Amino acid sequence: MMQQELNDFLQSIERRAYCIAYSATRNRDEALDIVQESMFKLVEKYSRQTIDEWGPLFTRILQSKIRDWYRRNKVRAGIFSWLGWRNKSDDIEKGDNELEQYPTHNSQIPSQQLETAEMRQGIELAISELPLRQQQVFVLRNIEQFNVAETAHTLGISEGSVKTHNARALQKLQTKLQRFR
Amino acid sequence: MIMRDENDVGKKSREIFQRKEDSLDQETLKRLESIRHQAVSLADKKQYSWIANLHLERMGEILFNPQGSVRTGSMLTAITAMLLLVIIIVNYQFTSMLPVDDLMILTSGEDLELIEDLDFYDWLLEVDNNG
Repeated sequence: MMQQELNDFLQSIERRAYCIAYSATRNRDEALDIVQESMFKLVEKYSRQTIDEWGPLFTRILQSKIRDWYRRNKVRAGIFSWLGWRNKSDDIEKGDNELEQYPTHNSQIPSQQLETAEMRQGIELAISELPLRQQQVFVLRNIEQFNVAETAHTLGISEGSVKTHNARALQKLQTKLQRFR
Repeated sequence: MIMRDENDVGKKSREIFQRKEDSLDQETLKRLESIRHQAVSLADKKQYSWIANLHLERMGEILFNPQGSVRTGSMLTAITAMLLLVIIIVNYQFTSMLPVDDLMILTSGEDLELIEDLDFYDWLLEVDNNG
C-alpha cells in the first residue's frame, strides 16, 4: 500500500525535481544523480512520515543535495584551476546544452517561435547563472510558488533573507533579460 | 511575450519550467522511472526492517509504557535497567541463602575463642542429653 503511494508521489514530483536540478547543474547526469540521491534519502529517512509531509521534505532534501553538489563542484573547480587543468564539468555538456541549438537574439529571422525559444533558453541560462542561494530562493518562490515562510523553512534561512535573495534574483534576471523587453 | 516587470520574470520562468517538464526526452524519462522504481524497492526493504523494529517497539510499549509509545532507544535503556534489577535481586537472594550463623560469626567482632567455647558447651550439652 505504502509502496503504491510512494510511487505515485515520486512520479508526481520527478519531472519538476529533475528540471530544478538541471537548472542548477546544466548537466543531465548530474541532475539525475541529484534526483536519485534525494529520492533515496526521502525513502530511507522519511518514508514513515505522513504523505502530506513528503512534499516539503523532498523539496528540502533536493535543495540540500543541490547545495552539496554546488560545494563539491566549487572545490573541484578550485583544485583543477589551481593545477592549471580545465574542469570537465565546466563544459556543461555542450551537446546537451540546448542554448546552442537556437540562433542568438541577433538572428535576422523574424520568427515568433524562435524568439520564444531564445527567450526560454535565455531565462534558463540566466537562472542557472544566479548565485546558489538566490537561485534556490527564486526557484522556490517563483517556480514552486512557496510563500516566504515556507521558503525560509525549507532553506533554513530567515524570512528577511528570503525577501532579499528573491529581490536580488529578480533584479539580476531582469537586467540579464533586458533584451526581451 | 515581452517581460515588463519582475512578475513577468517569475511568470515566464514558471511557464518555461512547466513546458520543460512536459517535453522531457524519452531517455531522461526512462532514467527517472528507473530511479523511482529503485527508490520504491528500497522502501520495500526498509518496510521489512521497520516491521521488525515495530515488534520490538510494541513489546517495549506493553512492558514499560502501556499509555504511550516507547522509542527503541528508551526501550533498550529500560531493558538494561530491568536486567540490572534482576541481577541485584538474584544476587541478594543468593547472599540471603548463606547460613545466618556463619554470616554473623564472620561479620561480628567477637573473639573467636569465645565462639569456639560456645560450640564446646553446645556439644557437651548434647552429649549429656544423649547420655
